[in-house]
Amino acid sequence: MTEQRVRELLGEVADAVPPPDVAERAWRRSVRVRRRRVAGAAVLAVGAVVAAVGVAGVIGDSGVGARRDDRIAGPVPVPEAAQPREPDARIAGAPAWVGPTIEEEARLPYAGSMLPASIDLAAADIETTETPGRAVAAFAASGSDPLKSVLLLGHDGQVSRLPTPGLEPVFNDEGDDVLPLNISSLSPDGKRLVLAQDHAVVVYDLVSGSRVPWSTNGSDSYYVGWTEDGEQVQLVKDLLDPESGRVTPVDLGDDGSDPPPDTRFPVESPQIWPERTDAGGREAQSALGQPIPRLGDTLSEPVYITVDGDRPAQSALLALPTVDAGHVTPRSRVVAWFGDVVAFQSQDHGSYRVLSWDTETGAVRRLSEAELPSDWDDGVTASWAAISG
Amino acid sequence: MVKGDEASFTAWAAARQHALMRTAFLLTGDWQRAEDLLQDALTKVALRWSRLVDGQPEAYARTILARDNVSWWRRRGREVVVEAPPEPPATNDTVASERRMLVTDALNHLTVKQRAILVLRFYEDLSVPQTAQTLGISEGTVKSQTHAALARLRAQAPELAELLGEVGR
Repeated sequence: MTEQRVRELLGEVADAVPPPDVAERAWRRSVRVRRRRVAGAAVLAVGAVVAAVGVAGVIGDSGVGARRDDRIAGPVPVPEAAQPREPDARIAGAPAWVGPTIEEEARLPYAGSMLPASIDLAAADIETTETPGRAVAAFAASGSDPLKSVLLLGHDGQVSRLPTPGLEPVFNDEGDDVLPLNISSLSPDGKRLVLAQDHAVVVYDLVSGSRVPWSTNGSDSYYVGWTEDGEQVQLVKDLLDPESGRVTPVDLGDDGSDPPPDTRFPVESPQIWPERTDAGGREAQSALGQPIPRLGDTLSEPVYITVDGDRPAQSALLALPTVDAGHVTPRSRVVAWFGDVVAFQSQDHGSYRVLSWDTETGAVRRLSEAELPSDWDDGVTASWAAISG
Repeated sequence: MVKGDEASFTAWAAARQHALMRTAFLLTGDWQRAEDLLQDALTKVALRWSRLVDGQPEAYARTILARDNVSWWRRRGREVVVEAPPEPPATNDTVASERRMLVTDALNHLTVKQRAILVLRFYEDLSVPQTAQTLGISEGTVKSQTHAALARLRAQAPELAELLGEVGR
């Protein structure tokens, strides 16, 4: 068989291959991968030192994210009337405001929402149960080692404790220990929790009380979370079916690139947590960035909440100052949309809040504040289900 | 991610996906695997499109196809497919169809790396250095494995040789 004959035969086989149609699918997939990768990278970078409060998935009408029926719905909040505040600047044609400092947050008025004004994670009488039911959020101390339990916020505003005995420490590629709970651990429908173990995961059904450990067959699992549709567990690279334990290789590799931020604003680092999309397609996300001079000279290490719509009029930016040393950064992650209001997290050592930002008026209010156990001074790691207003 | 990237990527991918699919099928011999491999490769291209758009995205895509296929086989534990894989939709040309099946079956007797080397060298017409670079192996390995692959085809695919009238040559 000559080389020339091999050429002809290979060509003959190739000529019979009909055309595929995967171009647009590949692009859509790259967008999802980019989001997952950035969210995962952010968790690894922040590690156990930084308190993490996040969201469990993207909500949107674009077909991406939790099914609408699975969202945790609540009444649309009616924030207290606030006088529109003149934007501090206009960036890319969109209004931009400087938000409150950590100290100012504690004095903000409350706005009503489906979230309880107070989440008492420090109460002495928290019930321990293996069947806490559908949860709105899951919390753990960032420095927990080992992680013996997870606190869950239920629909009724009550906090319960899910015991997680037998968990082993988890280490990332650099050998640093990481918390088994992370921003995507609670499924978008709030019914299941997945925790990381060494080349294994444990899936807790919060409704039935079942606990299923799955080996990942060697696939790295120091960072795990639910996919945006809540149907699979995203490992560091591969996917795991929570029903069968089957691991699907993804192996998308790592080209070492940091994707540019998917926002019209000049923030320099990418989105750090999964964004939330409202019914109109506006994407709200948090991003780290360099100071924007037009917003003043007090923002030495700002965190930005950005809202990107199709037009500048649908977009807005909130800059959160972190000028004082000692704050836990990043302060903020987006939790949900309530109408024109973006709900986001903010915390420092010893404090943890959910704030609202009215993207029309610029007003920032408190939605919820947590009482933290005294030994949670390393911060909070939390995962939020998909919430809709 | 710039809005214009999506348009330029999808335009490029739509134009080149058929050629890349042919390579993917030759590498895998399995239609579904080939499509999965292609989609993974195109996804990776899309992820770094802003840097590839003015360069050689197709060469990058072919590298991904070849290397990811080898990785996939490694993860599968080096198992060897012995059953005839599904062929793409057939034409009415029975003889040609049978020949294609024999070629595909014969390729299944090669290691995944030998197969990749043959595809890159004799279908993609890459040089020995280009093939080595694409697969991340030495030029010596490309040469030795090319020789070994052709020898194995001759030894383990007698039906193909017979069909080609090469018996006894």
